[in-house]
Amino acid sequence: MTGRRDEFLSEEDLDLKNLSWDELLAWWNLWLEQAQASNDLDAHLYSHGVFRVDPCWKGPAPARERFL
Amino acid sequence: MNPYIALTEEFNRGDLRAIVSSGQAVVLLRLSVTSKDGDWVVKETAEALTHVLAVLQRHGAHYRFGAPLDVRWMAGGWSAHLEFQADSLRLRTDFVTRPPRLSPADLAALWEQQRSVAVPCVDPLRLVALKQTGRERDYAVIGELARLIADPEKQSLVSRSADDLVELAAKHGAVVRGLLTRRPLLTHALSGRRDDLAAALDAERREMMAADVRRLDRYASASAVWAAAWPALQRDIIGLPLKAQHELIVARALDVLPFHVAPESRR
Repeated sequence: MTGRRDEFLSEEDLDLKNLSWDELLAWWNLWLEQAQASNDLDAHLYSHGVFRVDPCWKGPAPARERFL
Repeated sequence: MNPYIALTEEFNRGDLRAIVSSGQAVVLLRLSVTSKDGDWVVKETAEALTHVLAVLQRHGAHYRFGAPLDVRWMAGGWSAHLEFQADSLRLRTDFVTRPPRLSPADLAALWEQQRSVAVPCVDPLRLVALKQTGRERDYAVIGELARLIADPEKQSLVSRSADDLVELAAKHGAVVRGLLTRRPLLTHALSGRRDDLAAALDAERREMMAADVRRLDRYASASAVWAAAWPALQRDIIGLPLKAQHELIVARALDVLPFHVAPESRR
């Protein structure tokens, strides 16, 4: 081992592997509940597939390269 | 029960039709919870797509802007997007049958691999390909996905970590040397030049992001007329059952949305 290791995700993220299946589902569901808070902000956006934005959206176009 | 697991079970009742992909696959692989939308690779058959639509109709789903969930468009790499409300949750359901950057043989192998799995889910190596998007944060996920790949050759081809690649080259030099034509930056791993390797990884990521941006630009261009027609069509489908929405969307799309998008021209 080199002793060095790049980190891509947080320890909190990576701790998912230590959860039981029921604990994983509980954490996943809680996360989904909390994530609803941003629904108004991303109502017009697409995070997957080949589309970027709802054509009914009147605001600024989303950036073509995205960081989040 | 998690809503996306429950939906996956409904989609696959009686036959394997849908494989969990992208963000929810990353959860199932126990790496991170970062996406509130559901994505599936769906089998490219009329039966599978009709079944998925029937499930979504029972949930009161409606179409978002996108391609119809119809084999003719799905075979061209288009994506279909639907949404419904389940108690306090807005559930978005996104579908492709031809995920980007997977060859037909690779896709066929994925279906075979997931045939008897309790919750069918895209495996780490193929998920790496799907995550090579124009969004920078996906490359952090790829970094950890690569660490789930046990095979040193496969891991060497997709790892985002200079440290990991230097270590792989030290342990499996012959394997890594055999990959130089496929991934030239591995030469820096073999020589232990970590800073050069890190810079090359960064350049490689930027090129992959740019390639995906160009891909989406081609779809945006091909769907420009469809996008212009959508606001009026959306008003027409509001309140209709999903099956009726689907029939109307297909009828309108036939006039303006091409089944296939021209491939990228050589640069």
